[in-house]
Amino acid sequence: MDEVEKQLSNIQQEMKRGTLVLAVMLLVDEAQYGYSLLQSLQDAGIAIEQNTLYPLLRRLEKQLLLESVWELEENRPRRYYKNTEKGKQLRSVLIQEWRKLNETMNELIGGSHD
Amino acid sequence: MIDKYLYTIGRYLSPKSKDEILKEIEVNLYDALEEQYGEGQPTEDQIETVIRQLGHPKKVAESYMDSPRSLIGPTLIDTYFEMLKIFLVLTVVGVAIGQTLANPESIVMWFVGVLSGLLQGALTTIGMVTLIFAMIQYFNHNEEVDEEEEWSLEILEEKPHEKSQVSKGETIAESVFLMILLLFINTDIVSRLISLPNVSGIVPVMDPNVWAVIIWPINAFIILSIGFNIYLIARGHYRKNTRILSIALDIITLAVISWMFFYPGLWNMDAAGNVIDAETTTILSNIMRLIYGIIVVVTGVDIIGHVRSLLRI
Repeated sequence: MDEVEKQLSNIQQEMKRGTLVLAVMLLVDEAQYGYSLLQSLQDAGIAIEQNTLYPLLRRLEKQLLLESVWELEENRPRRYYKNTEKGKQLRSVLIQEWRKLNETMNELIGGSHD
Repeated sequence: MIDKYLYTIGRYLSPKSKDEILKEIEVNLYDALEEQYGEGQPTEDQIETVIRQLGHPKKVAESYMDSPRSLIGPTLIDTYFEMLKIFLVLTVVGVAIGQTLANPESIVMWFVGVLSGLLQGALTTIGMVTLIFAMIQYFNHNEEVDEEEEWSLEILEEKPHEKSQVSKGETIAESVFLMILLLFINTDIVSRLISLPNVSGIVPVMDPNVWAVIIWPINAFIILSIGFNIYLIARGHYRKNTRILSIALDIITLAVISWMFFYPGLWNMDAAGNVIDAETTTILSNIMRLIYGIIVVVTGVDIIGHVRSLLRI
């Protein structure tokens, strides 16, 4: 990977990182376990590494934005995550923020920077 | 293979949350295996693929850590290694000088003495320097800063006055003197110097019983002073509290030296007088008075300097 590709990759990662929390919170109104959420994100076109997603879920749970429960399925435990009420409220604010940011960025980009 | 992978990750995790995190990683690994290869016993190749997807054990563990924890942070680490190098070199020099002064019976004994002294001295030095820097780190960086927190301009520190800078050379020289003194008073050389041969054997100039009691607080005081010097060099400049502490250490030095000089119970000059003539005794007394005078003047000048700086602040 040359220098430019490296820089681009870093900037892309930075941009995506900021959207991950909202993306996760949009997908866990129904409880999901780690790997199924990973696949849901990938299906939606958001490539995320496992060792980014799983710690993120733990952090969101610590912040009381998600709640988790261990369930036993076919003798295998699985940890299911879903939004808390606090998480849902925060998500609404984040969605508004996202829309504003989107508008602002579209205005800034206009049609002349492609 | 999964057990080995989890164990390796666990080595990098804090004991507090290790079990829970490992359980979660294990579950996620089996989920990945099942989703990618179906139910049933996975092969070693399949396990390896899934493990590689998750990543290097250290990276996985780091991703679960909220923030990197360190005894000595990035702002101090360079100074720490610099101080460690300086004081280890001083330890080597000090031990070599101490052993030479102790006048060992042979070069082999000198070498053995240096080696054992180095082992003890180097460990003490590393421990002391590390402890001091860990304390600076703890007290300076322990407060987490909340990004949104209202902060007062009062937290901004006054830029140190140019004259408040700690002279690295002077402080290191003082530390060298203290380290040599430490070695000097803790080796056989002391018993040689403070003892005088007479016909029937050794007549100590100092009362060994009193010396045996006072050497421990003196050692502690010297080590404290060396530690304080390391702290001063690490900080780079004096502040009000370090000036006050310097004055306190100077006063204690004066008190200890004066007590040693004037306390009759420590000295055994009558016994020494039996084996050396009156003229030599007078010369010895004058040398001791001179040394005492020099220490009083140097320490006094240091105290005055600190007091003046404090008044200026």
